[in-house]
Amino acid sequence: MENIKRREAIRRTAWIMGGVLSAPTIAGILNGCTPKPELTWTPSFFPEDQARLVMEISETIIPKTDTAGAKEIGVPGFIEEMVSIVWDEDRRKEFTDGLMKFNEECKQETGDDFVALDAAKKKEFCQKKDAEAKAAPWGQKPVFWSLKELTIVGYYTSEHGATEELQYIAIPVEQHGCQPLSETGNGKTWATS
Amino acid sequence: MNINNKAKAQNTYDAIVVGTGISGGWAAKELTEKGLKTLVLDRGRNVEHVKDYPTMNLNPWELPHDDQVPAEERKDYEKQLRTGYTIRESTKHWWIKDSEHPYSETKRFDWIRGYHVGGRSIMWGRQSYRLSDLDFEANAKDGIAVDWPIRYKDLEPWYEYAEKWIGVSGRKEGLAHLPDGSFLPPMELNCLEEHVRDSISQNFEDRLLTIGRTANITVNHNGRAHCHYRNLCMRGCPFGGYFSSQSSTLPAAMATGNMTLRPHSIVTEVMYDPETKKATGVRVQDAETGEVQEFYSKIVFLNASAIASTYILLNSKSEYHPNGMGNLSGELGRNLMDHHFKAGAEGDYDGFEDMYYHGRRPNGIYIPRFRNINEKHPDFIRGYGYQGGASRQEWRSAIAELGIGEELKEDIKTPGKWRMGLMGFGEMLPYHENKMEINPDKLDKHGLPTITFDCEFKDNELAMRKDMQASAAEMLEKAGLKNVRTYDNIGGPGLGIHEMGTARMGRDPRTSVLNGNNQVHEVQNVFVTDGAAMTSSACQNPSLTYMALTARAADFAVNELKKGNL
Repeated sequence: MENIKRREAIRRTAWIMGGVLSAPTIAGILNGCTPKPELTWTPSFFPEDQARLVMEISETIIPKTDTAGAKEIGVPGFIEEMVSIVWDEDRRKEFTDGLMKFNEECKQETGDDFVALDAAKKKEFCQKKDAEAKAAPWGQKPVFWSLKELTIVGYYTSEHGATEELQYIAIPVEQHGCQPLSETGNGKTWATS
Repeated sequence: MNINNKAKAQNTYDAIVVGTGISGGWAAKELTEKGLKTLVLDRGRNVEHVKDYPTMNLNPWELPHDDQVPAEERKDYEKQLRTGYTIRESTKHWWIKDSEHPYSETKRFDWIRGYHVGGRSIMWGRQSYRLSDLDFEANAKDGIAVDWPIRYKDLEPWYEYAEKWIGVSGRKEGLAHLPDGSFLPPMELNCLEEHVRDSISQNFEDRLLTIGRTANITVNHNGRAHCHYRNLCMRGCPFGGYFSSQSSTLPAAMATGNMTLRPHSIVTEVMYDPETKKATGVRVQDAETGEVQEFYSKIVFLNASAIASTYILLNSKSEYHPNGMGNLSGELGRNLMDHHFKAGAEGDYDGFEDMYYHGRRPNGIYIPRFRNINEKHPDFIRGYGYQGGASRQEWRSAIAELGIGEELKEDIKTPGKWRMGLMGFGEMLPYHENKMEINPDKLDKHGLPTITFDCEFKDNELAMRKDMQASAAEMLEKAGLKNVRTYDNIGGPGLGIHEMGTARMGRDPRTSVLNGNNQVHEVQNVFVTDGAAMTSSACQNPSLTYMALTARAADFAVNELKKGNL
């Protein structure tokens, strides 16, 4: 992305966040070879490094394609709310410990913090973690399992996820038990059951 | 004297109904329609139809944190959380806080309830089945507990009457042991359910699969709009698409001009006159102010739910009833039952990939009981029915599947594999030692004594659960489902939210609390027509039976009043 556009994007993000970034800060971000990705929300629970990690993992699980990715839909903030408010203390600690471990493993394997990797390498590492999570027995699922769950839930319960990616009718009015998929609305998965 | 007499006159009615849930709403409707000035009491807040359903229209993205309740708040619902589905952001206002309304457990009992006008009629599962003589004769034939004092023919017209008023959708199947009702058009089975139904009919001559019989109306009925297939019933329905006291019985009672509805009224006891040997009314503690008042009437209907109605009787102690009103037999508070469920099987199906469904059907399938009907099962008596259904896996299943990134986004758009599950709902026998008792040592926030439960499932239920799993797996496998897995998560009694039996009907005052007309044997102007009255549990969802018992008892009570017998 060329610098003018990036500068504008960063400013806009800062404005959305209700904050103002100083010119030197923006310059620092622009000049760094591996800039820290700018947070898309103001975290109230995660320290900034954890917030960035959560944000980048969720965007790797559901990236921006021709449609919005996790970041744009506000999934990172949703994850923070779930972990900090809905989960109990034990699970919360397990999650934050797991996040640190996730990054340590990433450093050992790639030599870099997860957030510093390019998109392809992020995906590659997450695919490994996805396979490990699936293989792990219940009760011993690594943090990636929770991240994937929260990302998917946050994304597909959003208005965009439910109505654009899937299909949703607030009031179906009629019930048809057995009909061709091609004739069932737009033929996509129902957002709610 | 004059002032007292005036106050007493102001607080005097023809009838008092305690509770406004499924059976209380029915008692209110029947008694007021028959011309009785009726005081209808509920311990909770008032709930007006539609107006007081705050979450009924919320979309998924309008609910905070995936409809889950925050950890801090969950501490208030320690026991209510045991169901796993009741305490949600969209429904938590319908359930009590255990922190405010504690109870004790010698052995685990899940007492899941709400304190508000309409009670659990707002949140109920709506499955509506008749009992039959297979059920009414069961105790006598097996020689356990006591015989029901009624038979199917006594209740049949009242089932019909209740079904016609509330509207039950379903399909006639011609089974003697699960009698057909007066049904509105059935909801549709989906493709896999149709397939499994055909397979069961071909392979098992004693079994069939039908659509659930549910108190969701499939056509406009009785001034209410048909079900709109949102499957959000528990939040309250803006269309009145299912039966609740609010959508159905309370408006009818109100329309007569004979009902006085008084929320925030905790009934602590039924008052007794030893000279007439009748109840004179009830004592009420105001839930908001703590003020205690007495209300008087010719008849009293207890419809506070099995546990709460029994509590009121146990708490109605006098020198004439030292162990509680109606407890001459010592059976009051005993024979506590629920249904046992959460045992069955599920499997996957390859096929119907180009088929789907439309509308969120608030109903599943039903496989009526097939055990111990003609042949005797070697391991257990009585039986169970299955509830369940088929669906295509939706987006949440992607969590457990390999895949992230663009591919995940793409895959999730197409509905997944078909799956079907069958879950048994089994009869629980009435055991004398399964009981609830008043605990005078532990008081609730109103300063009233609490309840201690001591209840467990026993060998007959446990043996039945093995068959629930095996037979479910057998039927699914025969129908070609793959990867069939069985499960058994028994939980505590009470989890079915079908509490029954603690003031059972019977023929003999020495062994039962109520007679064949639901009158307390010893105090004949007191009627109990909720789950407490059940002499056995059968395996069918019980609410329709409470409605029929209530309408029948109200008819009897008014006739007796006219004859001067009460």
